[in-house]
Amino acid sequence: MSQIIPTKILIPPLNGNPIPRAHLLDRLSAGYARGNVLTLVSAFAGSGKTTLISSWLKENNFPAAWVSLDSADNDPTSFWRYITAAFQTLEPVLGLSIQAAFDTLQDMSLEAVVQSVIEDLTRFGKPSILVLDDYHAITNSAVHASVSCFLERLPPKFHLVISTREDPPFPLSRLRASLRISEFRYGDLRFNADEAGQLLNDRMDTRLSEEEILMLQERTEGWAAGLQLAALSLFSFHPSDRFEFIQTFAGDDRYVFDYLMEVVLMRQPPELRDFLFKTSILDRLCPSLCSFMLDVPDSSPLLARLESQNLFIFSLDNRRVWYRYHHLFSDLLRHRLSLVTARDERITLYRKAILWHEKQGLFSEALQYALSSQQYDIASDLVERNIWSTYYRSETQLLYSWLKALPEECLRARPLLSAAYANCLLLVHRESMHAGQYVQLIDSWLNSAETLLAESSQLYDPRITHYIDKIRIYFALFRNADPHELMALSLSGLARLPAHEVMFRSAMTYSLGHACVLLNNTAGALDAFRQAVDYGEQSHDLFNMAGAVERIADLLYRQGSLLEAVAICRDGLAKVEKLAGGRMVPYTGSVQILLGSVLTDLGFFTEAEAALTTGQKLLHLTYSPASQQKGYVTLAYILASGGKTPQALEALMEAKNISSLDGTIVDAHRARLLVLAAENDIRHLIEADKWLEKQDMDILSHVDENNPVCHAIVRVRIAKHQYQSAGTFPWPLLEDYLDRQILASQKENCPKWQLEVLLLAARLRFIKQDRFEAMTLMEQALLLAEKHGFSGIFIFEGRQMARWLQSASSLHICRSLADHLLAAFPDLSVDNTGPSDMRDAEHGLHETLSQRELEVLRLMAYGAANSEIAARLVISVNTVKTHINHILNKLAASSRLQAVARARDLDLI
Amino acid sequence: MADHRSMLYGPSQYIIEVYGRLNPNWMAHFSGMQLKDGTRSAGYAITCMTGQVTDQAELYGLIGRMRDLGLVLVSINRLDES
Repeated sequence: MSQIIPTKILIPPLNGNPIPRAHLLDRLSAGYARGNVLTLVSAFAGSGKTTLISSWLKENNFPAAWVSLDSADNDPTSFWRYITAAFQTLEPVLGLSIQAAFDTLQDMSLEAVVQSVIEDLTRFGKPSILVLDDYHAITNSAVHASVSCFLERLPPKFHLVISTREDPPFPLSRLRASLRISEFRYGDLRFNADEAGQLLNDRMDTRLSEEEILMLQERTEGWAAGLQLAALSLFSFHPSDRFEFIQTFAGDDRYVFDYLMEVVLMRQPPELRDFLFKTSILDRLCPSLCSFMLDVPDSSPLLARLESQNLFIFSLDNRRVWYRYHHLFSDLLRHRLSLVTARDERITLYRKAILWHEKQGLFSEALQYALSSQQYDIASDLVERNIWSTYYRSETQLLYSWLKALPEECLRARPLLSAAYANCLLLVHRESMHAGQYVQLIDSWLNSAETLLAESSQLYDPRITHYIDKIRIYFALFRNADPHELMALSLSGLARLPAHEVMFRSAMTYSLGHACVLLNNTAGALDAFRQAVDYGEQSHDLFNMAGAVERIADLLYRQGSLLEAVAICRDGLAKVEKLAGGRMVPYTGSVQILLGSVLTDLGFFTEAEAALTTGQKLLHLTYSPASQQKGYVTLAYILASGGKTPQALEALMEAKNISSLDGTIVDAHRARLLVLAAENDIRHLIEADKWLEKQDMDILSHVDENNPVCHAIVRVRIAKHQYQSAGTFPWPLLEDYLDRQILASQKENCPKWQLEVLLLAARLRFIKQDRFEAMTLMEQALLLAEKHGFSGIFIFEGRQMARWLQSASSLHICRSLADHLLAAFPDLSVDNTGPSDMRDAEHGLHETLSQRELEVLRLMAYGAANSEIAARLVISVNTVKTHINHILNKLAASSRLQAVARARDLDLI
Repeated sequence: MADHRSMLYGPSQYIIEVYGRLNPNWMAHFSGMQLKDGTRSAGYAITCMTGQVTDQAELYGLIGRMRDLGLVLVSINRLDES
């Protein structure tokens, strides 16, 4: 289904030769050359804005993208979809990453969209112009805010031109103050006598005297549309009568356009007048459509005649297929139409337009006409006819916008629309399900649908019942309902599906698998998820396919079947890619992240990093915070093990900034990585210690699950002891905890967990100087690692582990594996590096600022706002704020100003 | 005070003046406002539109339509209830 109307992103072709307005063109070029951010052209309809801008572009041959906006673009997705599509006329790869997101229903913030476009433009790097024509059509404040944001972050060589009938509500004063905006207002655009003369005599061949031209110019106030219409009306008069007409006109106070329009229309032959009126309701015209509207075989001659007479009709493309009237002209035509025809007749005209467009497959346009003529039943029919195709292509965002455009009564009266609306609400408000806000609303819509199906004798599409079943299942899933309930719903839904029906099967088997997982039925879960993949393949349900692949791989991963998990991920990704036929599928990002995690454990850090990076890019466009967080954390480990501590900490910061999740676990991982980093710079341990002080050691006595926070507590405490040996070391507490953990992990049959606690227990024994116990545990760990292929986890234990592995090797304990692991350690030096000068660090003046923090500080010194810093460093605003907090802490400053001052004092910047 | 507020948000009579003379048949286009020719004290011709507006949204809609026609707004005044 075509998502965009192609003519909206074409640069309007010029109608003949426009009047050369050199002074305006020069000023436009000057603003662009100077590196201005924005050119604003703000004036009445019919002032010549569009012509000016398009002739400027044509004359200079600037690379430009154009979007002709209309009221439908108040939907933020539509707005940015068009901008992306327009940029793609310049460079096909621009905005591809967002396109996928536009199709599916994402809670993607507009800020993320804007950021993504900015990043793509920055990478593109070549100077270009974006023109937004008819910006006054936009009334949605969210869209305004996103454009304002876009303006703020526009990369250096880009220029935005906004053409509008009223000033946009952006904070223009700052731009005006910094002289980065060129403005063209009505005063600039009005035609002076000279230009009027050119328009009237040269272009329209009216042969008027200077006096006559002046009279017309004054009467129309230099209004381009008025002048043009004046010229047209003159042709209705015999040359000898023209002066009188002009005099009368000049002396009249009536609204120019209306007055002249009457003259022009009255003098047109009836068939032309008829044509004008009947086609006035159309936003865009083409010969075939017009023929259909008028019931004539061929209307191209009429269109051509209108164009040649300059009757306010413009070609939209260069192929003489699509045209449109000047808005003013069609507005007045429509007004007159309403005066001379009955409502029924007008409705008939709209129906013809709807019919033609639907037959051509121009569905969005058909819907627009139905909505603008308030024929909501027809509009509802249209939407219903297209729902299933949107399901398959996951075009939920599009569907949601359609449903929102229909009146509530229409939705309530039709079960399919009620159900679809409930589904859209569910997906949009996924995050709020637990809070119960939208639960009642969604429930009411589903009930509406079910009631209609139950009590009506009408024969409804049987798929609606199954659709509702599926929605109810996912409703339960997102609400974190009882797993038994979820299981029951899934099973009954599946049972109700007729054998041949594949449509909802993948989704239902997926939820069945999920229920099994919640009930600890791993075998059942694997079975269900495998079926979900198969059904997904059969029905092209890529979303559920990708999801199921991830779940299977995850279950295998937990069991310790690392290589199998990798294979499942890779196979699954290949299958989805093949079915998607080139389209990006953002949900596969979760699979990539999982793949990255498994590869990390296997020790293939380079491939892991690649998968994690790909995964993050994809997930950026969709909703999967847990996966994203996992991805950043895993990446942090890889970076830390390679000695890239600052980057690792930054990755953890990104992980923490995924706002919907609790940051406690990320903090725990952070503490762990700080311990690792302390091997190279002992000051990191101070930070880790600070974290430890906030923790309650007592929880170790009663936690029996795999809790990263507890592991981190043990680790930091041990490290503290190694470097400081201050105070009593809680041997019993930690030993007991680790013993219990070893038993628990064995019972759960979770190899990774087991491995981690074995190594931790070994570490504890080593510092207790109990080598025998320690080596026994090492052996258990190594055997376990050998069985499943774990490798990365040893690297993350740091250089001390390398020493212990060396001991193991020399004692012939799993020698080959130990040697293999040793080889993987980066920068191996088996001397006594490690705990020594910890105490000196405590006397340090302050902790040094990281490279990134210095960059932020420098930008702050230049007075950059957070958003500018974010744009420059291509990071999120949240991350900038976190950096600034750290900077303030490290410099012991209470304000940015103070921080900059201190930094200067310390010669840091 | 409270009374005024609810009145202001509800149906009100507005007088809108635009530059130039509008054909009376524009009445329908502007929600049934009455159109009357007039002249400002400064000497230029205006059309005076008077009528009932349901609420602010309708008023802004009217003004938007005037903008689209390129009409010059001269004044907008609410006729307060006596």
